[in-house]
Amino acid sequence: MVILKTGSKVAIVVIIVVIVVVAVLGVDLYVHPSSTSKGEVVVYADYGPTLAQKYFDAFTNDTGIKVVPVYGSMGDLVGKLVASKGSETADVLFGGAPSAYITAATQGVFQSYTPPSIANQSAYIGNHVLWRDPNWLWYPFTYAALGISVNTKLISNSSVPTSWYQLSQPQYKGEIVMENPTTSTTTGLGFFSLVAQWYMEKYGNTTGWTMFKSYVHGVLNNSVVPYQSDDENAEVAVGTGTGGITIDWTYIPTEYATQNGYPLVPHLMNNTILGPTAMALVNGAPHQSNAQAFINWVLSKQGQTEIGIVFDKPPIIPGVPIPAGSFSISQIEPIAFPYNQTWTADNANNITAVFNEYASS
Amino acid sequence: MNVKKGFINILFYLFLIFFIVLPLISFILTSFYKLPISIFDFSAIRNIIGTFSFSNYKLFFSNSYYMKSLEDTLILGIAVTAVSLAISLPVSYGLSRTTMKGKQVIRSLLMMGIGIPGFILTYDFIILSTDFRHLPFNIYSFEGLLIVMSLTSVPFMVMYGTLALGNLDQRLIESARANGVSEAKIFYKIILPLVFPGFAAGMIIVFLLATGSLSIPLLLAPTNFPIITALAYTQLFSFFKWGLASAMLVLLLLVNIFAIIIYMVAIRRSSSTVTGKGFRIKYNDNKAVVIILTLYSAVVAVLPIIEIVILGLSAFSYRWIGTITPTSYTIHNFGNAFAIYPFSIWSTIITCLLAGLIAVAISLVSTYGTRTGIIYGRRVIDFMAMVIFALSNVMVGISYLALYSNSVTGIIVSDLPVAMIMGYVFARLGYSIRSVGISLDSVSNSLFEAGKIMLKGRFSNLLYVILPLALPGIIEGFLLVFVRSSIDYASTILLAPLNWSTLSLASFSFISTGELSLGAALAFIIIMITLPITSYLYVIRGRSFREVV
Repeated sequence: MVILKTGSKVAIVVIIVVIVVVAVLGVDLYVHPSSTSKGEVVVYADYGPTLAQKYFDAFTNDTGIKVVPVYGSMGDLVGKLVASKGSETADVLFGGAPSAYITAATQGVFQSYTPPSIANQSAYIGNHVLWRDPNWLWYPFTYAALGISVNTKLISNSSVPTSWYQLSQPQYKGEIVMENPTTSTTTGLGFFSLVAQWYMEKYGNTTGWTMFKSYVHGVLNNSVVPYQSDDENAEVAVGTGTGGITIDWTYIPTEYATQNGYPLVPHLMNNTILGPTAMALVNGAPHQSNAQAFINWVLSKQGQTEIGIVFDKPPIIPGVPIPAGSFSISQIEPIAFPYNQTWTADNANNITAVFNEYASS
Repeated sequence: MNVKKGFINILFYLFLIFFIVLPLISFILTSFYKLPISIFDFSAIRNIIGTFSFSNYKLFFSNSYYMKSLEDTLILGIAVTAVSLAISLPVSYGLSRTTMKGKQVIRSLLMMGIGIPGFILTYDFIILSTDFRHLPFNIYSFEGLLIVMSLTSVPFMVMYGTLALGNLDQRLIESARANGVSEAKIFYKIILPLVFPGFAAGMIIVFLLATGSLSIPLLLAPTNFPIITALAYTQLFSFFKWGLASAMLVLLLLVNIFAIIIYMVAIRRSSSTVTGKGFRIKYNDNKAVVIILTLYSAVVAVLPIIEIVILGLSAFSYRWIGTITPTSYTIHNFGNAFAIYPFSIWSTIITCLLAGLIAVAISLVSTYGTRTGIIYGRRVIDFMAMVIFALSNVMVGISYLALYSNSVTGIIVSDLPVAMIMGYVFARLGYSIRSVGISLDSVSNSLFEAGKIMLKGRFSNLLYVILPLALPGIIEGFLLVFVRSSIDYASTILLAPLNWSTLSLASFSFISTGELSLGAALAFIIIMITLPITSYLYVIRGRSFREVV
């Protein structure tokens, strides 16, 4: 039997462990002197890191305040906010649909703040499109309109559907790439909720809901499987030819066409959703003044201009140019449906149940 | 001496209570409410205790789709276990009982599979499905889910199967033959009882991994085959239904605990103890058998290479649409990714290294301590470790976040990566306890007794006798905890303090927003870190094992 020189080996192992532990503490103390210093703001961002970092760098260059970003989906980020109440680290939640903010607000994670540059903007556009929380718990920094993204190599211009209803018609069988509303809570859920609200407004709650279910059945019959988890994956699927059409916000196909070379063009549809993209100040934010500075900068002329440069998305304050390919509020508002974000948040489970019922059959 | 023993036991169990039991209780309490609950928050519990109810459970059992998800999850778990066992059995036999060439290479290649994140393997298949369009099956189906999950489980099954078959003492078989015992009886009365514990350990771990998996079902599970972890995840993170999501996962936990109980009963009934000197393995050197097994093992082992090649192509791609290989390449994906996550490599190495060391330390203390009577309650410890292992990683993250996010203990969540490291440890403690336990079980009692007599005390016995013999299991345990922690996403997103994003977290962030190349670049770095470590450790393991024998 070999007797190892374990005394010295054990000593080496112990020394290594001590060094590693010291390194952990040392790194945390010296490389990151505190979790964040006074000149920083922690932003939980529901955005792709590459683009978002460019935007945050523009803020830092302008103000000297460093952004410490945490990237993730809205669900992950809000989940972390809710579970970490009592030891908050986040200052601002950035990006995501109002329906997610409406639900998140019920968890008490936001605090009211009125950004000066949009203080005169009412909670509703045209009296029916929810634009911001009435109590200033969340507010927009850009917006988008819901339309369709079309692969021009698979769908000719003359064959592009001109209404949501046409998506359920037989000529589009095998062409629709549909998002799963359970996971795609901005686009997928938004689309199905829009259709449900349209039917219920036109035919009454009971008949409208029945007709909505028939519509879902028809659209899913025309859809390719798998159903995509989010609109980014749906764009990739349409871009690579898995299907010819998907539902998405009108600025996204242009983004994918530019960055990835996909043959995609957006089409705006009647009865669209005018959807604000929101942000909010976190309740108990550890860097209040920097958080407010960030929010104010995003809604300043400089910040709104950078939204167009970095994200190709339109501004919400006057005097800032709208990027090519985007639509102004005045263009969208006349064809926008009086989409109820709160109803969407309250009925998300019912809508996904209808989807699951037909998707699993 | 009794006071010292008592003190050691109190310390040990306090440690386990603080990091296993209390988070579990918080998690279970949440299933009876609608928001996460910390058991330290006594005033909050007092205020809401009247509102606790079974409504989340009633909602689950009254919904046929939710019930189907539980049924489908069980079907998937059993199917993955069976398929991965069938695939791995010949490989395990070849590695442990034949004179097959290239064992270290095959073992190292298979171990690479353990270090590849589930979502990366899934994306490899998605790329094949989308760009190559040559897959003979639909990736987004039960078959696709079964194939992908079985392939990720094969390395585990091979490892445990190899350990199990490697513990088979040839002397017992030869003496049975010499006494005229039939081959069938030899198999059922000698071989099976000796190898069953190792295989059973592999099967229960694969079953728990399959039922607790999140990233693969989230990406691949079709709507008509819902998996409960993915369903709970979307209930939590899409609709913020904490109570319903926790109830779903508590039910899954109960099912997994039931499976663990079956395993423990089966082990108790079938376990055997072999004593005596001169443990010997007889290697099968039949040429036909060796060649066939070598070819088969090589095919199985090369699969991780294919995954890495696809991952590598994506990591260096600039544009890749609808072609077999990228149409243009770039080296800037790595720099661009690290510009956003500069500390991710160090975060990964530091946290996973510490998690591995702590896990094997606890495993060694518990297994050696219970074997020698220092620590009481071996089965309680095993059960606790397997229970936490039965939880999905996202619930470990939620449990820790809910429990420790308060003004007193918040520092270990928000400032130091303590909760993150301990979350890694206790989500994977089952791996290291099993590995160390199997190795220690193979050490005969006579060696223990001889060591105690000849050496001064239990510590010397541990140092000079047990450690060298248990080294293979310790290395295996450390390896598993290190690589599995390095690919964790679900608990990391919740527990990583600011600036402590790991490679896995950063990779998934890029991939989930369509930045596949950047995500693949960081995942490629994970493989480059784990690959040399696994290869080196397997070389060392082989040398140490040979020296000791």
